[in-house]
Amino acid sequence: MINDTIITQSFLSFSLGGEIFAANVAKVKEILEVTKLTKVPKSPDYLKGVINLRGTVLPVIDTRVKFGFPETEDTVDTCIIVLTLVIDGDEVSVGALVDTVSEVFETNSEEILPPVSIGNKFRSDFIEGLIKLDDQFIMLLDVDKVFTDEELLVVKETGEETTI
Amino acid sequence: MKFTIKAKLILATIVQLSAALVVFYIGNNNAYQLNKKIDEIIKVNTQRINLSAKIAEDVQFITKREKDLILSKDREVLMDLVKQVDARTEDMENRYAELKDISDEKGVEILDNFQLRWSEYTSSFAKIKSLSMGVKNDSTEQLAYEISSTTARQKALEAVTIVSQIVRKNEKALEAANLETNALYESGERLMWIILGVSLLVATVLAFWIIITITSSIHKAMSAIKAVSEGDLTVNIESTNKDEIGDLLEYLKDMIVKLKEVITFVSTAADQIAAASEQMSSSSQQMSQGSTEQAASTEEVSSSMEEMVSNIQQNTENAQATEKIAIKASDDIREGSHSVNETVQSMKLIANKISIISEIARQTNLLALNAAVEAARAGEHGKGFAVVAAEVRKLAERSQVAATEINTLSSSSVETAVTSGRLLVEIVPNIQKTASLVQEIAAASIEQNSGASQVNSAIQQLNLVVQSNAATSEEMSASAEELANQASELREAIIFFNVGNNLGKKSRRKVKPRKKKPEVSEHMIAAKSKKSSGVVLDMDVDDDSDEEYEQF
Amino acid sequence: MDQFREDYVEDAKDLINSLEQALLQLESSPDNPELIEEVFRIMHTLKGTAAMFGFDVISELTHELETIYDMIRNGELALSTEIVNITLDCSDLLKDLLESEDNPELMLRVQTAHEKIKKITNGTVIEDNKQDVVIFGEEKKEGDQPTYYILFKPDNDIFLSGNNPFFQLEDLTALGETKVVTHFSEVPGLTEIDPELCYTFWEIYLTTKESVKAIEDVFLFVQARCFLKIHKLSEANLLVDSQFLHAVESDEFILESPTTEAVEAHVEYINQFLNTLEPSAVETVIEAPQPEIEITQPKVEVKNVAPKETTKRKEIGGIKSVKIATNKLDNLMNLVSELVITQARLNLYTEQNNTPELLEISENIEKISRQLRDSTFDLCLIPIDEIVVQFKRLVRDLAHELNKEIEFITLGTQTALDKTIIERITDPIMHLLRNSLDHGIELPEEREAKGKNKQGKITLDAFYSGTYVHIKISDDGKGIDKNKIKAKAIEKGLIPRDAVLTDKETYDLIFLPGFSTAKEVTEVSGRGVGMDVVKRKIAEIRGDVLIESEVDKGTSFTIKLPLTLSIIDGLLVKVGDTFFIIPLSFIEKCHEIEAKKLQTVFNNSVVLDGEKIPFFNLREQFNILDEAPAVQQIITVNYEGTKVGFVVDSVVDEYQAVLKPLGKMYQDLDIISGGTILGDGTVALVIDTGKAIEHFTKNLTQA
Repeated sequence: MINDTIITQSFLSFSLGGEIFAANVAKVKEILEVTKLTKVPKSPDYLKGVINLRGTVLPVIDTRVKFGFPETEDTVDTCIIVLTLVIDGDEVSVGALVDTVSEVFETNSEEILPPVSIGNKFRSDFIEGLIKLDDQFIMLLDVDKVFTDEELLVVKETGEETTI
Repeated sequence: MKFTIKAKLILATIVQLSAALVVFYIGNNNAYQLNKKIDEIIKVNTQRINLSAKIAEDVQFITKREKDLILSKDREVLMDLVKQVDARTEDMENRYAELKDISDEKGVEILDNFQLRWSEYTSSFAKIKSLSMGVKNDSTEQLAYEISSTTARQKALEAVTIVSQIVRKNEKALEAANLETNALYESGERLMWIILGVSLLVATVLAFWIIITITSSIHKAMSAIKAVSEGDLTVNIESTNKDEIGDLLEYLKDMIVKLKEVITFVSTAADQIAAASEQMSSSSQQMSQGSTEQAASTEEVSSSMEEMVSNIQQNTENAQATEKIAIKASDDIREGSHSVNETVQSMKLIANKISIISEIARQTNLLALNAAVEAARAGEHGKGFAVVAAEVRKLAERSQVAATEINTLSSSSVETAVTSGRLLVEIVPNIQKTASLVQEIAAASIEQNSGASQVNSAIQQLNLVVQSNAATSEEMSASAEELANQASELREAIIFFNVGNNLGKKSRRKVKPRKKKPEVSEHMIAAKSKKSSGVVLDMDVDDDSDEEYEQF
Repeated sequence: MDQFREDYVEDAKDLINSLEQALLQLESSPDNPELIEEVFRIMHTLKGTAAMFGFDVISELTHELETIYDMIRNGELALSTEIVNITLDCSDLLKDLLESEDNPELMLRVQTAHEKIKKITNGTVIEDNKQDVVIFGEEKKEGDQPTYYILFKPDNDIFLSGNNPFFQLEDLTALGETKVVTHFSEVPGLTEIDPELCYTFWEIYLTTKESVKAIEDVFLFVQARCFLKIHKLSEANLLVDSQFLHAVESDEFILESPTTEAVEAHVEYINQFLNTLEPSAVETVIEAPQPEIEITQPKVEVKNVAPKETTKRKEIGGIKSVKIATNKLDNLMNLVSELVITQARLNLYTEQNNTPELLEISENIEKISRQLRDSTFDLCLIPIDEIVVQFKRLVRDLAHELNKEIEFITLGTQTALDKTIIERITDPIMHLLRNSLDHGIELPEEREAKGKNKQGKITLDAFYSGTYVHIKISDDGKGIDKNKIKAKAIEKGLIPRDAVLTDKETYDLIFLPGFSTAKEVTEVSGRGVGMDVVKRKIAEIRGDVLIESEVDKGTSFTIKLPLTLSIIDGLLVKVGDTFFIIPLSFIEKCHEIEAKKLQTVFNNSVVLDGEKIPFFNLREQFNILDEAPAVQQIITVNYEGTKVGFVVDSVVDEYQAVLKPLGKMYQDLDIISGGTILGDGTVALVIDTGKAIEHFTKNLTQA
């Protein structure tokens, strides 16, 4: 995505466990409030369950689990970001549970810093880049990768593998 | 032996009646003698005359028929004639018998003589008859006619003459009777005249005697009664007569004595009454005065009582008004507390609504985010819209903040309101107690009011009684006066009687009470005195009383 | 307007696609006038609609293209590859133009296109814009005016109401050509006549383009005061027929009396008379011209193409059907589902709030939405009829090709199925038919030798059975030889040599991949890729195939299909706070059971109705951790002929679930076949009992 030419891109920023992440709005379909969620048995932990999105069944990923944050109670600000992922060439809608959705912002591609793997607790291949906005680093997520990979975002020394 | 007026009168009457009886007897006897004579004349003599006349008539009838017999040829006429003659003959014989019965001896002689003649005629008639009845021819007729004109006519004439003798004889007897009766009448008349004269004389003597005795007694009684009627009870009645008048005088005497006694008693009593009424009048005057005073003070009490009642009433009204105010206040406070509650509710509702607003703001925020995403995805075209979305988001955030602030404010307001509501609620029972106390006061006042009214009405009644008492005592005083008056009048009346002691002294004192009349009833008394003034003449007459009146 | 433009763009794209297809076909058969006509028609439609919505460039371009094809049609120009190429280029251009008309680059291309077209048409072009071609050929030709018979007998007292029957007659004359026969038969003698009464009545023969309604309207004001009968005698104008006219004028048709019976008899008589007339007239009476609905899009098939000799169609007045894009239908379906769900929420809310008025409204909405849902489902249900036509053609062509005499009988063609199923069932049925034709039905000689009717018989019978539709394809051919199959299976190593198989298992062998019994591979079938594909395709749509066969008597394949793909009749159960749906078709029975009992049982089985039944506690299996209620339900389901129990907390209700896929994220999770959205908006999970049991059993054995 990072080209030599300066391209203005829009991102949706959201917070999760105190960290601020951002996703390319091109991947974001919409933002939902948390509704009643149906847990699906025999499914991975990070799959929180399914919800009814206007008559269709939308799987929801518990991003906290996926990112290796401790589980917390939902608040009024907890939202589901509906993302459009590409899995095996097919477009798939997936909901991602986040703490709060902050805003949509624009940034030039040149402002995007390359991810630093050293000292970062997150896997660098899931991070597209970093943006410094108002003294804060925002991690740009490669949503396709993050949410399709069964691996957790967080780097763990001896991570227990989640299996079906 | 008392020879009473009755006895005298009976005697006189008996004398007169006996004289009348004598006269009657004599008159009656004469009349009887006369009547007897007249009866005789009428019954015998007249009958004889009558019968004789009839016999004569019969004879003539028969002779007449005798002629007809001869003349008649018709058998039937003959027969009829015969019958007629026979019937007449029978009647004549009956009369003859009757006459013979009433005839005196001389008369019978004459009658026998007649009989003789008649029988001769009869035989002649029989001859004629047979002749007439047999075969009639001129000879027979001639014969018959001869007989009839000779013998028969003769004998018949004789018979009639004899009868006329009888009549004559009896007419003579009648004349004798007339003379006899005349004599009888004259003797009777003489006797009656004598008797009448004697009886008249006796009656006159008796009448004079009776009148003299009665008149003298009555005169005596008359003079005594006259004295009494003039009020002189001192008259002395001396009775000498032993008849009814004497008795009358005796009783009169008794009566005067009794009357004297009574009048003396009445006079004393009248004196006493006068004194008592005087006393009564004065005391009732006093009473009347007292009553009047009493009435006045009762009036006073009543008026002050009324004042009190009105005061109490005022009290009651005030208490009631207070009560109402208290109740109103209590209600108002309750209302107020209710309002506060409502306010609290409303505020809670507001808080609720604000939370909705907050929710809306949140959702708007989300929507704006979505819009921003949408706009960002649209790239260049969505730029403008992205700005708008951002603005909307900011607005939504601001409204959320505002909503939160309002929420805090409203919750603190709710607290305040709740506190004030609680305070208000606490006030309510106090006010309610006040209200109930005032209510009690009002009730007591009402009771008091009714008590006072009762007292007042009792006093009013008392007042009425007192007033009526005053009136009554006045009336009584008047009555007493009247009574005194009456007593004096009585005395005046009694003075009329002379009983021969000092009744006059007491009569002078009775006029005094008049000057002690109560002022209240002065008019009445005056009116009364005026009224009575026309009647009681001796008021003016009595000089002593007038003098005493002036001295007062 | 934008909306309309959008619609236009969509339609235009469809049209262009059709155009391309037609062009490609035209390339292979350039002389086919129908295709030329088709291309011309598409051009014309594109032109007209483009002009209407302001796509002037497109309009111009298509106009010129239209001119070319008009010329070809009229024989003024021969179709060449060049023309086809240009047209194809243009169609690409048109597609781009639809996206953005203002693009200068495109305008350049338009320019060149114009030039190219001009080159072709140059000199020979005679513009003829006058002729319009109507897509739905409803216009009737001149003279095709139906003839009506009208009996008009006013009531005697018609004059008293201020009406004059002559007005009606005049109005009728104004509608079209008339022939009026006046009847005086009811006029009484001169002495009895009442000049204020009407005794006359009329028979009118009217030919008009107007509808019966228009004729009835003429009598609108005297309706209540007259005896009126209107009968359509013919679709053709009989009044131009001299024979008919003569018959009318010569009193051949004498109406006996103005009564309904008499009139009917009379009309019958006239019809009989008409039948004796020349046949052309008769034909017009029987067969009305049918408007054909053109298919411009290979989406939902609403094809009415039917061979005239076999099917008689009902008259179609006006547009009886429309074509709808499937995605629109799907959209509608989704919306309706949403509506039903929302309505259920409304119901829930209303019940909680207990507002009678709201309740009434909500009940109304419930009713309406249920109807709407049913109608929408109905919309998606298409009668098999629609595909049967193809089968018929196939059978005929194949029979011809194979020199076999076949009688193809179709039954229950009105049986409807979900369109997606219809779409996906066509190929398997085709294959089965082919199979029957090729392998089942013997050659006529062979049949005669067997003593059978020379003509073979294939029956396609479709019928409902519960929520399933059965399609039975049977033939009276030679049947399946079980031994042969077995031998072949052994030969191919599909089964062990000593395998003992039931009849069913034996027949099912033919569905194995790579199995083909035909000795020779024919063009039609026998490539061995048929039956397994059939089986799989049917399985994909939750269907099943059963085989019955008897040697020399025939074979029958029964395809068992659900009515729709998206609706499952299930039992809504609850475990913890999660709802599950167990398909009703598998459920045997529900029992109540105490939770305590379950904890103490041995070997995971309980005795129910005197039967020992193994069971799985869904709570345990699904790792639902909260406390189980004291009394639970055990639902016995049928698993390959045996009963297996599922323990759930409670049975909520029977539920018709609209099945929704869970999506890619759950693609490995086969025990859940999908989700459905309940009334309150929550998602319930549909359990695939078979898979679940397999899964649980595997767990059990692993443990």
